[in-house]
Amino acid sequence: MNLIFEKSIENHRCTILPKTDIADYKIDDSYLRKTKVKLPEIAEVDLVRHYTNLSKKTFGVDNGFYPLGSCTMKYNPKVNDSCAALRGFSEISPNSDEEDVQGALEVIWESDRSLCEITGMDKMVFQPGAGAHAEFTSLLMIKKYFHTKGDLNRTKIIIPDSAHGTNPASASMNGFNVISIESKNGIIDLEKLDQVLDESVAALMLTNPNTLGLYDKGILEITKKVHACGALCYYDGANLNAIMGICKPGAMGFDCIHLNLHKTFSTPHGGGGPGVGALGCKSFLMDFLPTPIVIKENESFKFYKPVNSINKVTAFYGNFLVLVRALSYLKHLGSNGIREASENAVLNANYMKAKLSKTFNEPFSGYCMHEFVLDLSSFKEGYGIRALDVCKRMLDFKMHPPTMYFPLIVHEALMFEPTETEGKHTLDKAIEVLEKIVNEIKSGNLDLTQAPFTTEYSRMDEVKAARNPIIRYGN
Amino acid sequence: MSYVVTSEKEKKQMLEEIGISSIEELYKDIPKEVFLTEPLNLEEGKSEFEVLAEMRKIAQKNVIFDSTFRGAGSYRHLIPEVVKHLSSLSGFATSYTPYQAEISQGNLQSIFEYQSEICNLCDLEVSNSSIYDGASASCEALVMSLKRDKNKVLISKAIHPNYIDAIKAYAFARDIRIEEIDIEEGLTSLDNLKKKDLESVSSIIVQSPNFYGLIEDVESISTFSKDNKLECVEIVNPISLGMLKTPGEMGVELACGEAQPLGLDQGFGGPYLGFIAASNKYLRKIPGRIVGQTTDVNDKEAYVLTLQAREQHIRREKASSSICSNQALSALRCAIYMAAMGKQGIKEVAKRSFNNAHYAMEQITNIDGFSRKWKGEFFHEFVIDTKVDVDLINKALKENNIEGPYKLGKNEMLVCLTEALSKTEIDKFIDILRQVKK
Repeated sequence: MNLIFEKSIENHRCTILPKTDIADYKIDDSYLRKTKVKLPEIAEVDLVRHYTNLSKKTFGVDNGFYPLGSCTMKYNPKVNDSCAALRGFSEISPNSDEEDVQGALEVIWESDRSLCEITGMDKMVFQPGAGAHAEFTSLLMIKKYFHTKGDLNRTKIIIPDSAHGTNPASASMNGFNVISIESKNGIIDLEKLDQVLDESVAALMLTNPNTLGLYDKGILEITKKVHACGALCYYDGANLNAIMGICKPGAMGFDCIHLNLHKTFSTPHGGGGPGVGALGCKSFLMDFLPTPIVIKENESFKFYKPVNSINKVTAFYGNFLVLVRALSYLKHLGSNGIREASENAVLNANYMKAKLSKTFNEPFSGYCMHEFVLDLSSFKEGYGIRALDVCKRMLDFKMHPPTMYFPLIVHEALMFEPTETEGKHTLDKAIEVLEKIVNEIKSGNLDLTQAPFTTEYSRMDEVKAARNPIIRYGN
Repeated sequence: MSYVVTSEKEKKQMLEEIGISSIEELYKDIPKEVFLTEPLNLEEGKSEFEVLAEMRKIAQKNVIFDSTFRGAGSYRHLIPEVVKHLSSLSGFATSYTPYQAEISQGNLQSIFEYQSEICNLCDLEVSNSSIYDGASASCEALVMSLKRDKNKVLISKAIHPNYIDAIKAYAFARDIRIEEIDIEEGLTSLDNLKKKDLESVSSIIVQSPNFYGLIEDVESISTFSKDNKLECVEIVNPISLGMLKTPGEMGVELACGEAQPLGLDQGFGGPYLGFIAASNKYLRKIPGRIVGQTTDVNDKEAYVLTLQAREQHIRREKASSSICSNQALSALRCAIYMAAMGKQGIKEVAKRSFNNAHYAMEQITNIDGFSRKWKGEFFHEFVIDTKVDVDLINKALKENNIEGPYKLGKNEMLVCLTEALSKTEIDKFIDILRQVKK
């Protein structure tokens, strides 16, 4: 499809600003831009057609099944968007006086209280832009916590090999050394953990249930061991959708946590963001939170700067309008609905896993949490068909493929997370498609390395894109 | 109320297929000590009608002012309805990061167009697809500018104080030393800069227009940087580039900032959009996702996420940033805004904001007891010294449903005007200032 620049026609335009009665003011020529502003010139109707057509070439949850593992692509209720569009939220300045934005502070306060109840934390803030940003911020708090105590030797962060790439990257951003530990049967190997735990460790970062969809049953022992050597436990809440109302990370022994509100709390992903990296901690870490935090005093809400605050990680209060959507979702579901969501996310995953285990290899048998991983190595070895090929073939059936080649410890991994908002009929259809694809692999009648066959676009030449990068129009 | 679709009958069939009789059996790995037996202490679920009514009530506790003279990093500009409408189309809103390029061409092309527009605005060659906001983008740009074995960065004191806070946080994380450059007449002091020991300095960061609205002499600072083999980072308000000299024109190779003025709601601070634009030499150092042009196997022009070897999901602890989810939908919205305003519109917005601010400055400084603190050229914000308490001024304005300037001190305020204000609104504001004085 033509780029918007290619649709540009001289002197076409859409928006005409209101008339103005203010005269032109002069400015010295030396301040002025001399180069052309090469933005498109386009009429409103053409603009609308351009973007409407682009949106049709973008597959979202509203288009079909989206079992992208670790991404929690659940349905995004429309009422959330209506709440965020309320002028009282969308048209207020972050620099307004406290007394004029009491409603906004109430949103922050109420979200804080609700999410602390769900996670067993004491305080929750929403300044980080997304999950990885909250990881970075939490580790910064941990760094400052040890510095404040005068404990300057804690330079290591322990991370299991099944972790998301953001965990080690966030640790490095804080100057920590990353100690990766090998998993055993998909979960933490306690012996290996013992070997690396000492007084140079600042924290363990753990996702539980982990990226294999397994709940680490040794969790209480793990957090106890970490605490025994004076280190802290960090909970990556990417997979909270499995356990809401079932158990709390705080009770598992975690000291701080992040949640991805754009996953678990159903605010849309927006093609990659914005999210909210909600950051929670136990009370002993509260003094280190990014400033400001919201407190409640005599029925009114106030900003407060924690004494040892790490300062700020975004300019204001984070992605506030996304938080409004999450609060709307929380209110809608309520106590029972939240647990029901998790239970059904786990039910859906186990149903798919049970059915697919007849056709695919499972690296880990037994029950899973909200997601599970299949290993397609045998198809690669037997038929030369890779996990990637299966994903591309799925596109022909108008469903988004699962996450592929992650976690890294399973070689031809496909990671499915169906979420609770899909019905049995949708899961059955997906299972049927996957079984059909396996038959195609075995029969060899169709060259799946060329899939997809029916989509508007075929496989991309990624090497070409990287070898000679063209990343803007007209270069 | 949980959007669970499956009926009880279907659930039973599913449990049978798994070979269990209740969902609870699936949770057998969770230790008894932590398994909740009581429901969460939250309110019961409500219908969407009740939720909307409740949220409306909360929203009504916030004041929406008829007109505002407050900026300081978040600005009220006019946003065409078409921008709001198009950016909420459900394909864009409900998709994930475009990992499957075959079914994400709309999203990918729109990011490519966004990158192109940002490069054009800044006169630079490389843009990523977004960073969380202006402050975090400034921090990421700072990290990009670091040179091996040089861990000190000079930052202007005239940068937005919240950005300075964020820069200090990132600096603490990475053990970077920050030294501030003094200000003189509201501008980054070149004299002070020239006196700095540059021994272990990697880069210099300035903002223009700076926090006080003044236009910095970025050209001299970037020349000084080049002469001393330092990197120069400019934090810039993108709307000003409809009119003012661009980073590229001034020899700056690394620019960043907050794109909220390009069509994003003020929304109490977010979601906003951090942008980074740079010269080609930064191509492999820029963090976050980048979309590149390619072809599919049938030679059809198409777009993909590219240069991913820089990113955390591949490089893990060796990645320069952990950013994963970003501000894609904000970037889309800004791209639509830039196209809607177009070549002419963006110039007009910049020039009208400039004109309105200069008109207001003239009028205000004609009132006895109000004067400009510094005399330098400015874009759409300026600092006023007053003999009257700023609190009194803002109280009087508030009584007229006008949000007053940003308070810098008891008798010092930062006044902001954009194209969203009419002459009538500005004149009313001036009248109130005049009366407060009496």
